Amino acid sequence: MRFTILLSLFLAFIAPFSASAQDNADKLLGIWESGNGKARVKVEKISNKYYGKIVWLREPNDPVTKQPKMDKNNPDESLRATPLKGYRMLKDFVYKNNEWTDGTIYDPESGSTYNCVIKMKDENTLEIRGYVGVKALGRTDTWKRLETKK
Amino acid sequence: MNTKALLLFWLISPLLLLSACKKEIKTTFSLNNVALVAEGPLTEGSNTAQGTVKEALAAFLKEHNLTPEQITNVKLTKAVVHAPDSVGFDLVKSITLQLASDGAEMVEAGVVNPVPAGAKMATLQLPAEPKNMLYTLKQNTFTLVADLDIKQDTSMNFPLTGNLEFEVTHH
Repeated sequence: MRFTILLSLFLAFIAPFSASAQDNADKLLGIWESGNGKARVKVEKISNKYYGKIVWLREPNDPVTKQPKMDKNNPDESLRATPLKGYRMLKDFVYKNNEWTDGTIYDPESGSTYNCVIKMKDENTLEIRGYVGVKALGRTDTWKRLETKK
Repeated sequence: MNTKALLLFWLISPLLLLSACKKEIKTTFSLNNVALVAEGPLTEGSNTAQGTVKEALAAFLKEHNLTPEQITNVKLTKAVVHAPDSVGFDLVKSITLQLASDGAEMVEAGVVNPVPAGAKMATLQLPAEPKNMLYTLKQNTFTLVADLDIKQDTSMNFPLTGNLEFEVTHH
């Protein structure tokens, strides 16, 4: 009996913190514009991880072919027909210690994939750091929110 | 050759011989009629369809009397998606398919761009160098994710089914 009461009290105490952590994690959801303004990325949640795909491009068409841009720099030649609009450039992020980590970011201009960590500076500003190996060797971009989460 | 080197050779050679004899077998494994849905309203541009697959390898392991540890590689060899007969893929410009799970990295399964006009099914172009999907399929649950480039806004859901064929390498 005493154990049940203690367990109930413990769960009642812990539940708000757990819900709050989830709310904070989901603050990443929404549409964000990259620092150079060339692309907008929609972040969505699949199972317990966060993924971001390109939903808008300032220059959607290839200047040579005049057709919608494709992932022409993909290291795997057979996937170069993948449209850039809709491309998942942020993959596999998990929320830990007030940041989204363990994920990768893809740079369509070089065809390179980097480790990445995302920090929220404020509700409408993200700091996206791509790096190779160690976080110190990387570059940070600032993204702005365009639309509140859905 | 000194005595130590000779002794080492005699100790290691049976192990090398044993591992060389451990034959690898390749078996085909299919996941059929995986239901995915992009929930409407859908907007022009990229929309996400998802379907969950639970214990993907369980039946295969049981059928072949295997443990997960005996599998060394799972390679996707074919991916086909079907649209509802009544609708077809008329609304869809392109499809990109991925496998996602909490315990493994998202892996690209293939792409079809453009979807042939009037098609009700589409066979995806697979990566030339397919990744090992063992870690994804070993998870209790994984999500099949299809990014659909939709031609125009619609209030409908867009359901589709996926058929995947894998080559499983095991001992």
